[in-house]
Amino acid sequence: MTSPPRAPDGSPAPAPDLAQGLAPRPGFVPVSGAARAESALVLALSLYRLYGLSQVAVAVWLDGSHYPRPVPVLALAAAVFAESLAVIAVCVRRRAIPSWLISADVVFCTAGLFLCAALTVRGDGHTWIYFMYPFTVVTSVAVGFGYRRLAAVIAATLLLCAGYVAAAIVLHHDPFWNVVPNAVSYLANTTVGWAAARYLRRSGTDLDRSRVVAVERADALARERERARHARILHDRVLQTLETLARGEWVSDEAFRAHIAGEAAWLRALVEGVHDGDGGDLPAGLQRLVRDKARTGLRVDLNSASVRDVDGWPDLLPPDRAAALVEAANEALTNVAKHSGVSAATMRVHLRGAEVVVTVHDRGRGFSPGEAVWGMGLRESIGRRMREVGGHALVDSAPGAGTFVELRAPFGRAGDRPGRAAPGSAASEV
Amino acid sequence: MIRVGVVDDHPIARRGVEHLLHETGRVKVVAAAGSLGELAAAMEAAESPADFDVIVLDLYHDGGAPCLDAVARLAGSSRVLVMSASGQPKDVMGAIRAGASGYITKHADDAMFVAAVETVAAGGFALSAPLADILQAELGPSAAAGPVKGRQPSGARQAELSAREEETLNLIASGFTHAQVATRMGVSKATVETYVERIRAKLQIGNKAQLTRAALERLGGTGPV
Repeated sequence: MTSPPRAPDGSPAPAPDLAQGLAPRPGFVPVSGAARAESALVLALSLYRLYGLSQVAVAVWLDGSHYPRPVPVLALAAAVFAESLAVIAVCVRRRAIPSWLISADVVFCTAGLFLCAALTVRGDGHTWIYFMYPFTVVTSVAVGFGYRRLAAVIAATLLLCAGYVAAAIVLHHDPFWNVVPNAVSYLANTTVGWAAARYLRRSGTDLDRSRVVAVERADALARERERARHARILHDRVLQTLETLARGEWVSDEAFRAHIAGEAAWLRALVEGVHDGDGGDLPAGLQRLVRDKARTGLRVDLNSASVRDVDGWPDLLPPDRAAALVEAANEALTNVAKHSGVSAATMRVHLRGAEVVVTVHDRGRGFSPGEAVWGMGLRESIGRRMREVGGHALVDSAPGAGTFVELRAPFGRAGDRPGRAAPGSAASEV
Repeated sequence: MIRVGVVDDHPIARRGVEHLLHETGRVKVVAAAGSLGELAAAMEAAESPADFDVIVLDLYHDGGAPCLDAVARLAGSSRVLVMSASGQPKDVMGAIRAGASGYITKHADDAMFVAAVETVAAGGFALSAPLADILQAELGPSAAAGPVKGRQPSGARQAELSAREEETLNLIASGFTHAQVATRMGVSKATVETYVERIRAKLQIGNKAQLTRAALERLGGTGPV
């Protein structure tokens, strides 16, 4: 048996003696919001029960001498005490209010209303003799706690009401105008109880949900911090050494130096933390190109600040378009390596209107349009590749002025695009 | 002879920069320091702060945070060229706004590196391709809209660029030299320099003293000027 619980002190935490085992103990996972809401409801049910029992006790104490058949009445009162304590015990043990228990309780109370009316008589001037009525009105609040659905609450309430109305009118011959308002009290208690319980449970689950979100955020933040820390360490300890070795005279073997340059390019992409070159999207594909070219001795600087924070690449740029851009850029870079006479190029990716633009620029020897066969080949092949995916390519070169290749493709969700954008400034200069 | 101080906590990278600048014959590395503390000591030992025309400063030291307060402090008495192997756009913007006269990546080619140091020494703005790319991303029209999430309005939006300045920025970001930009835009190289200066002015880095004060205020007044 549980000792009478203390009134809650205003905090949502259940009284400690009622909720033994519920309170967070050191080393235990904190009690969830849903569990706290449930145990608050158990506490409320218990308090209403004990208050109802006190009504029974007062009635029996004051009026016991008037009962025509005191022994059965006292037996009924004892049964009510035993049932109430059993209900409290079950709820406390389960840390919840099972609906089957409330259903059983409603049936017990309805039967009790009838029995109590049958064992008592009306007429000595006060209805306290009929102690089952105040008891059931007080405890009916918990009917609202026991069911999640309002329809179930109302059905159970109507059973109680019908029991009371039938007993009061048939057995006690109470006046109708007295009985009906009395019956309505049940409905008020159960529906308000239901609404309050629903609010409490929702707050509990909301609390749990926001707690989960907060934990996830903290987790993501911690991971990001850890990643940044590792990146910083790699940058300070390894990357700078690799980049310096890749371009200095310290390593005499050219192939090995190119290999170091490739590894450095990969590490730089990793350290910058945006794309590791392993994904299928455009920045990853370009990053992979940079790494592959570095291994062959062509240093490519990739400027991609304006697409750094772009989210959802697959939605904005279908894989076939991304692949076309990467392949065309690859071809442009291959031409730099073969024909420009320089070993460095700048590749840039940025957004212009509803297009994504990839440019490849070198400061090499360039070529005269119409003269260099390979230049024509480049123009044709990357143009064809880009047109396949609804894009454009332009090649701009002059002897001694380097070569500039611009690749453009539609970008953004289909609904966002107003159509093909006007050619950019560079395109008009060809 | 341009007198340069180099601050980089990575010894090999520091040696690389030193070596590269020395090779030109036009630059003298007066001090090569592994930390800001070492640089401060070297500056005290020098006859006057004017001994440094340019300070080449690694943006990230031991901690994970960029040394923006040091940029602001050093920019008060010298010209600062910020250098980093990898720069977060907002850190680079922060450095420029704190008074740096340029930003270059450590993998910039040698000629670009030297050119940047010379530009800064002459009081110019070393607008490298990566820096132009970052500025364009932060200031350009495509930065205001589009599917780019998480872009924080850095207050840079108030710096509206003209179409010509925008084009200049775009071309430099694509890797064109000032001379090539001039050819493509059909203007003189001096005009391009003017555009670059205007872009710098729009970043509110015209008045260095004022900027330094503003930077220090932003940083909560840390450190002596």
